[in-house]
Amino acid sequence: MRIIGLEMGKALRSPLVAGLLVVFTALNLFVMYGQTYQREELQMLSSLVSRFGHDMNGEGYERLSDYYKSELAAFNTIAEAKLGRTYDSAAEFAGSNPQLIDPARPFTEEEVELTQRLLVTERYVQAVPELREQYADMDMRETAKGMLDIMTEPTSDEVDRIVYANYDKLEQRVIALREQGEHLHLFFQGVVHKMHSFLYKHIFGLMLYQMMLLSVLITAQIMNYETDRNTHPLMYATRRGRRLQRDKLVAALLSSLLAAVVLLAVNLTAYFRLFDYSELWQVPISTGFMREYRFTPYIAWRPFRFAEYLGAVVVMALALQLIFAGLAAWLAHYVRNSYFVCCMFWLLLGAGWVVITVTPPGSLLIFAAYANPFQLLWAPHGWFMMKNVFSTYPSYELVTVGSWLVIVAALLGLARRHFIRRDLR
Amino acid sequence: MRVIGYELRKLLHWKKLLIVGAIWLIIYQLFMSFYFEYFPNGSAVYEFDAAVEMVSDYGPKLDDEELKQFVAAFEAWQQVFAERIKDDARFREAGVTTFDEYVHHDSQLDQPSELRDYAQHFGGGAFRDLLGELYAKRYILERMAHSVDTDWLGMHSAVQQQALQRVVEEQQYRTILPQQVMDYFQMTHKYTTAAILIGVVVLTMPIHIGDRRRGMLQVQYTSRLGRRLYWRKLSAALIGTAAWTTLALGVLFALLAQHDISMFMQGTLNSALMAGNYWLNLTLAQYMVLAVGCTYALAFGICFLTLWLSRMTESYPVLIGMLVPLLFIVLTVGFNALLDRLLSLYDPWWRSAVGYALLSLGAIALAIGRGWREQRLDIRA
Repeated sequence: MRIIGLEMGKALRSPLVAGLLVVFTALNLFVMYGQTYQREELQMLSSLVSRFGHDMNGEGYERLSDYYKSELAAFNTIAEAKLGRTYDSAAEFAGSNPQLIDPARPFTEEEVELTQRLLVTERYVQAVPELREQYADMDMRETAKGMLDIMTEPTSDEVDRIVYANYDKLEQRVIALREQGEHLHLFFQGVVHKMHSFLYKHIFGLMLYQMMLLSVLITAQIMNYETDRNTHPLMYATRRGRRLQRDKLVAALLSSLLAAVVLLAVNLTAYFRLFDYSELWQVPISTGFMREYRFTPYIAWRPFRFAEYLGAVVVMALALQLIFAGLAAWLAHYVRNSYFVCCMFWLLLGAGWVVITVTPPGSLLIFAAYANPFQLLWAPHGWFMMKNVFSTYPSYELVTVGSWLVIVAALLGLARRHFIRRDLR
Repeated sequence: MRVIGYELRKLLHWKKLLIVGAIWLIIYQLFMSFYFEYFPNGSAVYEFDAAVEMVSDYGPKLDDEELKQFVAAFEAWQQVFAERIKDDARFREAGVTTFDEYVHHDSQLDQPSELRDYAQHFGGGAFRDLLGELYAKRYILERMAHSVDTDWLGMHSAVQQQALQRVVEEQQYRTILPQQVMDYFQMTHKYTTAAILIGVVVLTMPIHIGDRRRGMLQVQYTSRLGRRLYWRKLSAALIGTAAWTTLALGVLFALLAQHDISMFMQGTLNSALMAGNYWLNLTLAQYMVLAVGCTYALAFGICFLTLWLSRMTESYPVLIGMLVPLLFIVLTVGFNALLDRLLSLYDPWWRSAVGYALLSLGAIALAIGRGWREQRLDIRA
């Protein structure tokens, strides 16, 4: 036990970990600050949600509509007085009239703010019936068919059968979603703000790569510490010394997790301080407002709330770090030079990315090719949701992470047995 | 001399070369293969074919006489189109008798009209090709006539405006270089440079740390020859970098040769068919030479930086921890400023030059400055 703690200390005390954490946090904060200009408009949605709640099924929508109508009437009295005409909608006003940006406008500051709030409210009010219609028309089988049709390399019948079976399951989920009304909950409008992909793809995606780098470097440093300093003949000459590999492995895994947790904690805290999500923690993640492009809505396999989804994603990220650290440790058993360990890990990363481009989509192997922890790094904003035609099934993330954890454990077991008996060099 | 040879053998060890080769293969498969497999691609095929025709008819630059000939030829093709659709009921119903009417007949609708779908299937592939060709030529004519008009919007400083004025006066935009041809070279060159830089880092990393791990520093630094080993290693690193860069660029040009773009080599950067404007109106051939030079500059700069960092650190994980963020900055911000927007008129003229100067001179200063200090350093483990 003490040894594990001491081994962890070796890695975590080096300036490497602290330095990289600082650099990574600085980069992430820089990326976050780039989007802070949206904060005021996001605040307008938060105030709407705190007044009317975020559930837009039935009564909530009625109340929001009434509020919108009363605001529009108030706006029209002002417009009548100052401009001599009324408008059917705030968008019509903004489109036909540069009053909002004209410094010589007859509006006062308060009236300008009222108009801006009205524009935002209108966007959300008008989106609800549109979403209702879009989700009522959703046909997952058509989506699957469309995506299979445009593939440059043809798929085979067996693959098609499995894809359609998966999308039928997705259809069931969409039906359940519609009944629960999960798609009509207010959230920062995706087509305008793109907050979901900002948090999960730009910030979280960047952090995944950063955590991966940290895990690999920490693991390489711990596992090859003695070899780097040429004291390995001393350590590995005894039976207990050989068993040190197990302690090192545990230390490496724990240190990687610790570094990952620290990075996540610091950056996510900074993010949620910068962007106010205070009323939105209970919004279902499958809400239609989150979609960023008209034809690719975010549909999660489970009725996650925003907070639950964030938790699930964080747990997945930590599990991925275990896989990466495990792979690096496995490499370190055979390759005693941390330079080669890191290089081989990069090659594994590259291979994990390339394998889907070389596997023919006609064979069933394409599903196995996509079930790859390195493939998960590309699009964290699609985890647990409908995504690529070969990776849309309910248990995709679990299957990938679970099977790779088993593979890594098996590999490590083999490596350890090999290490216990091999000659030293 | 012999020592440089030994260092070079260590540097270009077969295991490291395999790793570097594998990295190049991965980058090729993920990013570059598309440009080689599908060139030209999409509807820009018609633009490419039209441009090839223009170059063979009129040479690399269009003067006023040739432009008039091109307009006349275009109108002749429009006549062919009018003949083809003359007897068809659907076209007559929509009131379309000429190509211009076909282009604009549904501009007031929210979506393309059904006539367009019909036209795609009318008369089979030949008619579709005719349509594509007509659209491409119309686009080329429009760009030749109007491209410079909107470019004024991005010109803020007097120097930029003067440069754009020169472009207009000398009719530099009348040359023929489709953007897709430029992308074909530029994108593949960019990814090749990325692979080269990663390869340089991988090859150069172990230069100093290897000796340090084996405790050789104490032995080497007690003699004058041992102290000069730093320069030997530097030379070996430079030779190795040059070799790897030349090899990778050679492979790039061999791959580029799969598609014949030799007719556009005299097309210049400020061509109307290109998306941007540039400070120097280089031909494509000259730009290729410049790009190759930039790759060498970047490769040597990174080589010096890695050399210096490799001397400063003691263990591989720390070195890799420093190099990966550095590579990240070079491959994202660096490539944007130094490769994508090299010579772009929308940026100040000195931007790329200063960037390259900073990188190369800074790296050289660090590595050589360290070398001078090495000659007098105290030996520490």
